[in-house]
Formats: sequence, C-alpha cells, structure tokens
Amino acid sequence: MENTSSPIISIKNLRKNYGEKQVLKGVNLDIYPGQVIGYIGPNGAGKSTTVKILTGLISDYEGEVLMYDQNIQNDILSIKAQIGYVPENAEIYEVLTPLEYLDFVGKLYGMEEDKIAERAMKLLKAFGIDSNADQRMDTFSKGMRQKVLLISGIIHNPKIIILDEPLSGLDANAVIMVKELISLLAKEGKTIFYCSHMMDVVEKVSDRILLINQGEIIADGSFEELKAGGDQTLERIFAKLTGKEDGNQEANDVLSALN
Amino acid sequence: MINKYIINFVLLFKSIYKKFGVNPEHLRIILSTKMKMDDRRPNVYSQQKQKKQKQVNNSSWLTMFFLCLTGLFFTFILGAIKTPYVGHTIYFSAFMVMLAITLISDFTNVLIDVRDNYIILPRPVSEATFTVSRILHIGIHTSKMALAISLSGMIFSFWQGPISGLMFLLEVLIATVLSIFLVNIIYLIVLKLTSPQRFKDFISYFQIIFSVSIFAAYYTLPRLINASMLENFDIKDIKILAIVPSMWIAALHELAVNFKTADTLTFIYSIVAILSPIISLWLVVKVLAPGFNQKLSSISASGDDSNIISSEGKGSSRGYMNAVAKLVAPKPIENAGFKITWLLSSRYRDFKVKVYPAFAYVPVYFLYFGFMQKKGSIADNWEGMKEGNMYILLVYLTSFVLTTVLQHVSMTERYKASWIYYSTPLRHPGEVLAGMYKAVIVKFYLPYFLIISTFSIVIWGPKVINDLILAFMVGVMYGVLVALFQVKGFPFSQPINLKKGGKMFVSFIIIAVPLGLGFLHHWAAKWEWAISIAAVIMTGAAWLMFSYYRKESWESLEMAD
Repeated sequence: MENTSSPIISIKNLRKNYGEKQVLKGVNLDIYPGQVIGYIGPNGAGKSTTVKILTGLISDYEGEVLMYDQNIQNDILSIKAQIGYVPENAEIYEVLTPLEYLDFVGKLYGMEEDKIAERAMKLLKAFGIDSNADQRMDTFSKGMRQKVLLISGIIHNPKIIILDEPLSGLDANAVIMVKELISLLAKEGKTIFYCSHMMDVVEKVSDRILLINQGEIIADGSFEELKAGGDQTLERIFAKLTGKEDGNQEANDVLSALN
Repeated sequence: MINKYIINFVLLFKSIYKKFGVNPEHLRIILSTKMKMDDRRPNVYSQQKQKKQKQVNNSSWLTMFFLCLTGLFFTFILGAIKTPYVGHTIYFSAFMVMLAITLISDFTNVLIDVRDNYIILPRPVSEATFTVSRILHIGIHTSKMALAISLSGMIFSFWQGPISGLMFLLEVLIATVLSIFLVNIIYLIVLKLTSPQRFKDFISYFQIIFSVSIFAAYYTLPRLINASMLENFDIKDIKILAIVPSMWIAALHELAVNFKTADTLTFIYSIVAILSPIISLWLVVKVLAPGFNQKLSSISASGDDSNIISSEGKGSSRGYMNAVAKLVAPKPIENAGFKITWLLSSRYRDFKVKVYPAFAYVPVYFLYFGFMQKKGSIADNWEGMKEGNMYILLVYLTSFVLTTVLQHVSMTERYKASWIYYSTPLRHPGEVLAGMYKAVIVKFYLPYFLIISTFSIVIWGPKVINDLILAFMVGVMYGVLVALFQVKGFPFSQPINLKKGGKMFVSFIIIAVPLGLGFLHHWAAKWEWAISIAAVIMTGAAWLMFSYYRKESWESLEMAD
C-alpha cells in the first residue's frame, strides 16, 4: 500500500518471546494517519501481544516501535497520552458509577473536571446510557459496561485509538453505531487499530487489513486487494491463509464423531 | 470527607514525591478513587450487612468499627494484667496478629488488583506515581486499621499517665511496621513455595484461619485471661519469648514506667524494639520489595480466576471420586449430581471460605461447652469429662458441619452456569438433588464423623460405638430435613445473597431437632438396647425421608424460588 505521508506508527523487526515460545517473529509495519487498520489472526497468533506493546503494557521486547518518529520507550507517557485503548478483557472498577469512573480516567489524561463531566454526559447520552450515569456499574449488563469502556477509551479525544474486540456484548444497534463512529473518527484524521474476530465487521470498517499468523504478518492490504486472490469474503481469505481452508472437512469430522 | 483530609495530609509531602518522579495530581486521583472503592468493597466484616443492603458505602469504616471493638477486648488484657511485661506482650502479640491477618485476608485482593494493569497502566501515569500510590494506599489502609485496634489501648495508656501514653504510641508504630514486615515475609515465603495461582488459594485458607481464630479467641480467651497463673510469673524466664517482637515492645513500656528497677535484659530488648522496625523497613524497601513486585506482576500475568481452586479433580483423586460415585450413586442423573457437587465444592473458593471454618468450630464449641464454662482446673475438667457421656455432645455437634455444608452447597458467586439444569430434559430434579446430598454426606459429613468417632472411641472406649451409629443415622436423617426445607436449588445454582424470607420458624425447628434428639439420646444412653433399636428406627426414617427428597419436583423447586 502506497502512502505519501510519514507513518504515525512504525514497527521494525518486532520480536517477543514468552519463555521458549516465540510469539512475534520479526513484525515490520508502517501505519499512516487516518488509517483504519483491521488486525486479525487466529487465537495465539500474536495480536494481543502487539497491542500490549503498542500501548506500553509490555516493554521487554526486541526491535523498535516508533510513534511520531519517536521510540516509544523514550517517552512512553507522552505516547500514552495520545492513545485511546479499549482492552479485550472488559476490566472496570465496577463499584464506581460511569461518571466517577470517567472522571478518574479523564483526570489521568490530565483533563479538567468540568470538561470531563460535560464530555462524559454527552458520550453517555450518545451511547444511550445517560440515565445510568449515577448508578454503580456492578449492576450493569456486559453491553453497558462495554459502552463505558469504549467511552473511557475516547474521552480524551486521542489521535490513535486501539480497539481490542470493542463490540463484545454490544447489541445490534450499538454495533451499527460503533461501526459508523469508527468511520467518522477516521475521517477526522484519527488512526484506528482494530483487533477483532468478527470478519464481517473488519471487512466493512477497515481500509487496510493485516493478517497475523504464528507471529508473522502474512497478509497486508485493503479488502479489495486481498480479494484479488479469488475469495470473495474476508472469512474465506482468513481460512485460506491460516491453513484452515477446509472447514467443511473439520465439520464432517465433528459430525462423524457424533455417529 | 475524611478520606479527602487524609489525602490532603498525605499530599503535604508532594515536594518529596516529585523528587521521585511522582505526579501529585495523578497521585491524588488514584488515591481518592482507590479509597472510595475500599469503602464500597464488601469485606470480611461487611458481608453480614451486605445480605440486607446490596450496595456497601462504608465498608472500610465498618472494618474500623469492628477492629475498635476487638481492640477494646485486647485493652481489657492491659487492664487485667498489672505487669507491663506480661500485659503488653500479650496485647501486642494480639495486635500484631490481628493487624497482619486483617491485612492478608482483607487487603490482598487490593494489593494484587489485576484490573490496574488494564485501567491505570495504559494511561499516561508514570511508574513512580503508580508505585508510590500503591505504597501510600497500603500505608493509609494499614494506619487506619492500626489506629482502630489501638484506640482504646491508647486512651487507657494516656489515662495511666502521659509517659505511658506517649510510649504506647511509639509501641503501636513499631508493632505496625513489624506487622507489615511480617505480612511481607509471609507473602514472600508463600510465593516462593507456591505458584501464583496457589497464592490465591493461600489467601482463602488464611481467611478461613482468620474466621476460626476470631471465633476460638472469643470463646476461649476470657477463660484463659482469668487464669491466675498469668499474674505471678516472670515472663523473661521463658527464653523462647526473646525472639517474639511483642516482648521487645513490652520491654520498652517496662523501661518507660519502671525505669529505675529495669534490668539489663530489659534495656537490650528495648534497643532491639527501637532498631527492629528500622532494620525491617530497610529490608522491605531494599531487599524484599523488588522481588515482591516481580512476583506480583507474575500473579497479574497469570490471569484472574479469583474464585477457582484447581487443587482437585486430577489424577488419583478423580479416580477415587469416580469409584465412590459409581458405588453410592450408580444412576446416571444421580451420578451427575454427585460428581458436580464433589468437584465444584473442591474448586469454588467462596464455598470453601464459608464452609471450612465449621469443621474447626465443632471442637471449639465442644471445648467451650465441655469444660471451659465449668469451675476448677482444666485438668480436673478433662478427667471429669472422661467419666461422663460428653461424647454425645461432641457427635451431635457434627450436625453443625452438615447444616453449614447444606446451606451453602446450592450457592456460589458463579451461579449463572446453572442454566444447564434448565436446558437439559431433566424430568425429576430430585435425582440431581439426591446425588448432591450423597456427595455432601460422603465427602464432608462421613469423614468428619469418622474422625470425631475415632477420637470418641479412644477417649471413652468401644462401648460408645452403638451411640455413634445412632448419632450418625440421626445426622443423616436430620440432613435430609435440612435439605428438604432449606436447600431448594441445584448444586451451586443460586446467588449467595439470595433472600429466603419467612423461614424463621423452619430454621428454629431445624436447630431444635438435633438438640432435642441429642438430649433424648443423652437420657437414653444408659439403656444400650434402646440405643440399638433407635439406631435401626432412625436408619429406616433416614431412608424414607431420603426417598421422599429424591422425588423433589420442578414445582417444589419453583415454589421455593
């Protein structure tokens, strides 16, 4: 993929081991402003490890990660200030109310209390949970918690947004809204790094898809470019490239086990 | 509001924090949020309250209130025993144990809160701010606890004189630092000996020990304190106490109030008391903390299964379970109920924490009712007990274990997995319940009863065997009664705080049954033939009632809901 501007994120020969196991085997990647990156791969492929490195949660790796041409290790705090992160495991301080939680998160980003309150209420309203703003989250459904988590990832208006399975537990209307939101954020110049197993969503929202398998990027391009191989859905492309093309055979194996 | 003042006080030293690279504003928001969460976090003391009121707002203050009461109880020791050496050694031993176990059982989850990794660490918060916030959070919490325990002791000491009061303040400070050191050492030893997952198990066992210790202390300490032996001996004669920190602290008080008569050993102990917190602080900061943080991060990395213990269900223990299940519950549905109860009761921590203390309560109750209440020496009471038929009290007390297991076997925080019972074509839910009941008897009641029986036979001789058989059958019959009226749910299928209103009368009857039958047994014990006949009748009654329980229908379960 050609891009004339300089990359906002640049990953060079990124390697990471957990004991004997090599999780990332030399990942190289340039990500440009305004791109929506769909980052997909089978379980254990190295997606979460990449995300944790980008968000500064893992620092003992080999290789180099640059953001705005700066090695993230040099000033990780100013890098974190520009990232919005929605983790896969929806961890939240559930004894707090959404307003209390967002106030906490907003202040960690250095926002003013009034600004946080104003923006939090607007975002809670946009996500349809403003009437629950003062209720403790321990009574919330999974979808409601996920909405608070999403809001906490964008409340400081970050330039880079890293979403790890952000649609988990959301109802159909909320999924439509988040998909639309991703497109709008990208149009505003935000860079979005989107990890998911939901191929149909990745196919629709991403303008560039990265497929990682066994610690290596094995496909990189727009959906149209990946489709040029002959397969018409991202699901099929994914299955083919990860060596699980013959899902039919596996399904038959399951069926024969029942008989 | 008070939290705000505490944070303002802590932030008076912000220029020092800044030198360590701490962001004071981040520190303020992290501390205030964490303290707000502490107040809302259900803990050991607020669990009873939580049953009535779902949301807790003041749990740390509630903890402080209970610690104040406990501290008051310790202060009676200070008042009752006139020599500072003895009184303060006992007082500060109790203080340090209380503080250490409160920290371990109540605060460990805060210390190893894995959510911080996802909520705080991805934000622009420096490592120094995060570390200092954690240290200060623990420090504030510990200080609140220490203040609560020592409040009454402090008032008492100041009432005795300003020197005594001021010295007591210093002693509390030393004891607090040493308690933190003790907790740190315990954590490190456990982490060294076990995996991160087993660490969480350890905390559960500690909570169990905590409950039992409080219970045992409540029943037995007043009796021990009255013993005149404590008044008239020189504690320094017990050489082993030289390594006990509370002894050093007591020496400090002795030195303060009886300076002129103090001997060389008292001086040496006092110097050790002053030096020990300084050395232990140095050890914590320089030697223990770095390794500790590394270990903590490995706990975080190992994922959260905060409620699961994976100690059973593997290899030989599973083979044993399968064999027993096949033997006592051969029908498939009953077998399923038996196995799921057996396995989950080994793996759900919330169940273990609630049920296991009951096993220790029985001997404590027995000692209390058996001879703690009676006048005369403990040895005389023991001899007298061997003459009578106190074993009947002991074996009937085991029904307490059975009741406790049954009352908790249908409850867990992870009750949502029970959808499986409702989605499978289960015609007679009683079959699952029958399997569950058999598992409770075979896994919990029978082994415990056998231990108690062995003890009884050793003490009172084989003549008690027919009494034991009768008591066991009464237990089994009584268990079915409890199950019929109080266990209206599948194994581990209901939330813990599920309200079961309007059953006061049933609960009363259920308590009265073993009590009444126990008295009857006690009265009839002299006629051996009567006991044997009663055992046969009770076996028949237990069987009939169990057969009835096995037929529990969906309607009766739904009515209970």
